[in-house]
Amino acid sequence: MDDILVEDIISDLPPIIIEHILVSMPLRDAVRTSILSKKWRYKWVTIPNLKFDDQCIPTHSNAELLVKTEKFVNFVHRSLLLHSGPIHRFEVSVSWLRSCCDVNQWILFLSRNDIREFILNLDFYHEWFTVPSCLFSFQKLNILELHCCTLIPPPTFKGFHSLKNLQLESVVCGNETVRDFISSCPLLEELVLANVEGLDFLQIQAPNLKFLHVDGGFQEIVIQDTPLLRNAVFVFQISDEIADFLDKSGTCNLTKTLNGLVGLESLKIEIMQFFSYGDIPDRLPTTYNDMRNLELSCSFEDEYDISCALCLIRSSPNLRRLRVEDYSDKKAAMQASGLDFWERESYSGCFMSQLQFVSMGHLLGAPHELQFIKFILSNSPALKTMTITPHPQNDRREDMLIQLLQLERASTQAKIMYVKE
Amino acid sequence: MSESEMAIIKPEVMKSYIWLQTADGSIQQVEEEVAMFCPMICREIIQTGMGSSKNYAISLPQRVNPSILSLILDYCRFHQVPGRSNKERKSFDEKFIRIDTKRLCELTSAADSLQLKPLVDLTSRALARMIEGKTPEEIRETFHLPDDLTEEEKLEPLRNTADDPRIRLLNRLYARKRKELKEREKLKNVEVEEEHVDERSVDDLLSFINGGDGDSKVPKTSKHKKKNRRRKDQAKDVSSDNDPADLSSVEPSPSKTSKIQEAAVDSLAAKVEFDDGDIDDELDPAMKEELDREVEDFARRLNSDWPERMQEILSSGQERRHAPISMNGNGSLRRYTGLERR
Repeated sequence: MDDILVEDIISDLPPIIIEHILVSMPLRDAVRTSILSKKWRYKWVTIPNLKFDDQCIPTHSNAELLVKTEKFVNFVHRSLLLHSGPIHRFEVSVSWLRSCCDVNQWILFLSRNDIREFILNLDFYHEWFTVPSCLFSFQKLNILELHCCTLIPPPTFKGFHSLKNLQLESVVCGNETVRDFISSCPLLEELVLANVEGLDFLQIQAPNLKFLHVDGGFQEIVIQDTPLLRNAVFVFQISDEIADFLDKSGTCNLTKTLNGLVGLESLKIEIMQFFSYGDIPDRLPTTYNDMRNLELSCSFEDEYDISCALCLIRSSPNLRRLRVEDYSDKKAAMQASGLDFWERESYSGCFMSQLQFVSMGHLLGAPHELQFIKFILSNSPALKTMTITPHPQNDRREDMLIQLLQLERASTQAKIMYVKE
Repeated sequence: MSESEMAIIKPEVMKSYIWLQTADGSIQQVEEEVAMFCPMICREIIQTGMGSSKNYAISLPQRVNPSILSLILDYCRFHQVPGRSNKERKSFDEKFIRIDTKRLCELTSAADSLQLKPLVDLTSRALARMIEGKTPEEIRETFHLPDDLTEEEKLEPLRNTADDPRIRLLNRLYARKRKELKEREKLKNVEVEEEHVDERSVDDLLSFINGGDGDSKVPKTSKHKKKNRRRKDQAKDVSSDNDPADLSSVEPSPSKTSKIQEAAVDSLAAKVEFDDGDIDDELDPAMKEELDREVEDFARRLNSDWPERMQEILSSGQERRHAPISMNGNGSLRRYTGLERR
């Protein structure tokens, strides 16, 4: 290459572009650019996003954990010391870090640094660490993501006024703490709570909330004052204890939890059992005019889960896509109880005028499943496709298909697609 | 207006065109919806009403030359069509960035000046991919970067650019010191102390550095200690020595100090590229370490308090009293403040 005449083509690009380039590569490579040339010496020190992960140290898979940890911690320290300028995004995502005291120091350092996005994704081998109180003084925090730690906000904590995105996974935090935390972040738009230990009664009050994802062993969920909620995912872990509690409580959670979410466009529920106790209404007081997409996981052993599903469907007149998965036990499903439910149902009006795509999964060929499909087919004049996927343990596929083919369809363009495994 | 006239003349061509002028004066016309895809052009049209005719062509920023402009317009033309699937767009993007590096850089710059963020993201990521995972030589070759860092600069940890004059002085002293040490080696003269008693000012500093060589017990012991530790360290760090990311934390132990020098940010890059041995392979390794340490110490002192230091240096030959303290890592910690310590 004729180096003498060809000039440097990249170093004089505007700083904001250089920053963009450096931020688009792993941190280690960005730091390495400092020995390229005189101009590149200090280009990396002002990048506002720092992500420390497995790529920061060369991985020798046989390296001792302590050595790895030491190297990683050293890398973080050196980078922080050499860095200059504000840090907007700080992320640590390693699964093998052992020591907590370094993490505390980093958090302390960041609390003086105008940090906006903080992600701590560690897996402390069951040695969860307590988040230091200086984390709660991150005034400008927009995004907070914590894994594997204990969260105890100090009494002086008044909330994060700019927080838009909160994600807590495998965190230890009590009911009141979560409730107060959420309500003290008025701008919160996205909330993810997964496997939060100590949380069984979830109360959400978030006027700007648009996206919600909860996963855990809840006994009760109350959502109030969230008119902007568009997308909600509920994943329930129903232990025997919780099932007992729900049984005894007598009220139906459908109304308690799902009522009032007027802007809801997409709802996913895994498993429906959480809602199927008590008196299941025909439809909810609120009509979900914007609901386009429903994904449900129901048991077809009896009529309760199905009842809830139908309640939701009836409350969503503009529903376009429906997906239902069967999580029943095979034996119980085949012995279906409460089949007379369907005779009563055929008189209730349920006109799914906008429903176009339906997908049924994990089908066992059980009576309730068939009735449900029959119901859908005969009440959806706009249906385009119904996809049937059998459960791997389904041993009466042919019979099931024969029965399905005989069903009446309200829509002349409806196609039934069978998915072979 | 000219557009309606055009419509009459060519009724089948109902499109409207926008006129753009690049920095070199050449003017070209482009379909309106394509041009409007660029936020900067869009704003110009809406706010100033320019671009509707040849005389009122919108002047584009300097960084946009005609050939790059046509590339950008190709991009806009494809992406402004609403019906395309994500897959189609991605596949277009991948083919689009397969241009030579120089043009890619120009494209990034031009896209930025037109505020076309999706294209800036695309090209930046492409450039990032050309940098990550490559050795410094490869990167320099790709982008024609000059290899203009001095050996010392590569050794050094990063400092504030404001300190450059001091770094330059440091480099000069470093080189001088090396030369003197080499000469001393040859002479094998242990009794160096007497030699330097008479020296003043800047050389005074050197004297304290040299004074330590054959002087009191403390330096000698530390030298020995250093040697032992270094061997142990070498054994322990065999794996880390080979890897580029060895940024040892700052510790008072003297043997580690040289590692600090080595383990500057640049050692994150392939260590193969830079090896201490290249510079000082004629010197005894222990001496070399001491040299490194002294020089670093010196640099620190320079940085900490330049005017006062200068006074001290010029006024007295008392530097030697400081020698034992600075020899000992703990002592230098004492006089040191701030984050300069590397």
